[in-house]
Amino acid sequence: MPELAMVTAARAIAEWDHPATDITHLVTSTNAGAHTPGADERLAALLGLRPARHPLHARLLRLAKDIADNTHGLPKEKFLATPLSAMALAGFFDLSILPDDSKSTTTNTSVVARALDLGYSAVALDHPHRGLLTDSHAPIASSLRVSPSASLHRRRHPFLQYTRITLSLDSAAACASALAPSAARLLRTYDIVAARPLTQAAFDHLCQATFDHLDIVSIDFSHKLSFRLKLPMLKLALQRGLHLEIAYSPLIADAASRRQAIAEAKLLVEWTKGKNLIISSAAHTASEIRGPYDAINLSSYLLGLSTQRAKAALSVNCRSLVSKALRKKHFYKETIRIDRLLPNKQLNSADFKLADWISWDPMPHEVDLLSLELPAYKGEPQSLDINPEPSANEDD
Amino acid sequence: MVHFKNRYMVMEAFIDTAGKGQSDPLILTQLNSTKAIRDSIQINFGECGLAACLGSLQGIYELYSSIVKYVNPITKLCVIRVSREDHQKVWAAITMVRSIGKIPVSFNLRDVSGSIRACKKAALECEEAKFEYYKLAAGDRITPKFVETMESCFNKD
Repeated sequence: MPELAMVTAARAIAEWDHPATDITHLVTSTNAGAHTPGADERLAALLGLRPARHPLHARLLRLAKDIADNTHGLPKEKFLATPLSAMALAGFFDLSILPDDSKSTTTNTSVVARALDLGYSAVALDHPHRGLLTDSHAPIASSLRVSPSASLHRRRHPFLQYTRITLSLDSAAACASALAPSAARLLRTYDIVAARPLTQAAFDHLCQATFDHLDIVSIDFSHKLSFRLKLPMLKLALQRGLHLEIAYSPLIADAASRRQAIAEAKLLVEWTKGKNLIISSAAHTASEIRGPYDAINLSSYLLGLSTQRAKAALSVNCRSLVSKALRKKHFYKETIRIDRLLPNKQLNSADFKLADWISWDPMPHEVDLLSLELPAYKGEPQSLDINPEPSANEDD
Repeated sequence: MVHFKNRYMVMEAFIDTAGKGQSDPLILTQLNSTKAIRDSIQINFGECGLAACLGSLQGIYELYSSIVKYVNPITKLCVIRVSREDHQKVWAAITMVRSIGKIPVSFNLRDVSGSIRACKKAALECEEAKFEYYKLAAGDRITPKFVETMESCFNKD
């Protein structure tokens, strides 16, 4: 797939007949769905149809036109618009690896190594946090260096490590302040943002109010919950696209935490029926993490989830969560990102290597390239009749 | 006609070595792994749970027919036979095993199959992969002995 993308990009630049250095902005947009049809037929369809028939691409063009109108002084502004679609198979994710309490390092390399061995495709290193966020809490970007021969399993995709923060919130005011837009800059340094409500008010507020940067609502089931889960609140949370997390490490630890965990988590499972549910390990040490199929069986047998939903909770739900979270962080309104290209950067076809895309969007995906040029910004009437709907999964 | 439907699970055990010691702190044998699994079933699913799982597999000789059919102490692979209706319960109990004796272990499932033949094939593949890995890790292993034990255990089954 990336070869196809590269070829079309090269061809577009060749047709365009200007030196590649004239490209000053690279506007990229993503398609929301992970289930797009075959990329070649899509590409053919896209190249054949007029741009305005795709609301996503029309929006893209309008934004490109806006940028062009507003930035003066640059003689020729050329845009290369590229939509992307994510189409990889979902591996298994473990989205909560806690730092080791006994050691002082913030990243837990032994657990990550064990997760790699057990067959997970991606992990997220969690930083549990209580109180106000300050600049000193930015994540340290040290992750385990993975050599390709390290693991026994043949991997199609590289092993990915994300950073995550879990904010423990004990009141509605704390929720509002911790997740306010003013804290957005700090929250954006983490890939995934989770909130853990400790009281009823906090839980209600998290479910009801829309926060831009919140991805997961995680509840600690190892101790007796001081609040009740309510079905209408859960429904609201699911509607807003929040994911709910269940950790399986209390089930493996001693009997008391197992009792609490099963009692409370069963209720959550029954009400959500596995929709938007993710299962993670919350492991402090390497002995607390279990293989993906073991975790699936454990949660399905003990919590009453069907095996298929449990497997989805460990793979597909996590994947959609991570891709949504990353898109929130890197893209404006989840669709469009503008990269300003430096004048000395050579934009030849070799630059459109997959590594380039992966370096900022760390999900294994296939790039579907539609290259449109806008030589004149005035005479494109079809690009202006736009319906400003959110990007649709299917094309017309 | 096959009256008893079984599931054969190939599991590998991860032993957390406390230090960087070369020698394994625990040698996996049939006895101690069976004991660990039975204790886990008893703690989590009670006396009746334990009885239900072992009832179909218990022969006349109690010590002889254990749940764990084959253990390879070097590659830490075990093959466990369970009846089909209880295999999820036993699998969950195995996942919840935290230690054998005093040493923390954890089990990871590699393969489940309904026949001993498919199970043998899967176990051989896992063992070969692990063996390659060990060869890379340490050059001086008693290789003939290992191959011997592997073959002998499989032939016994």
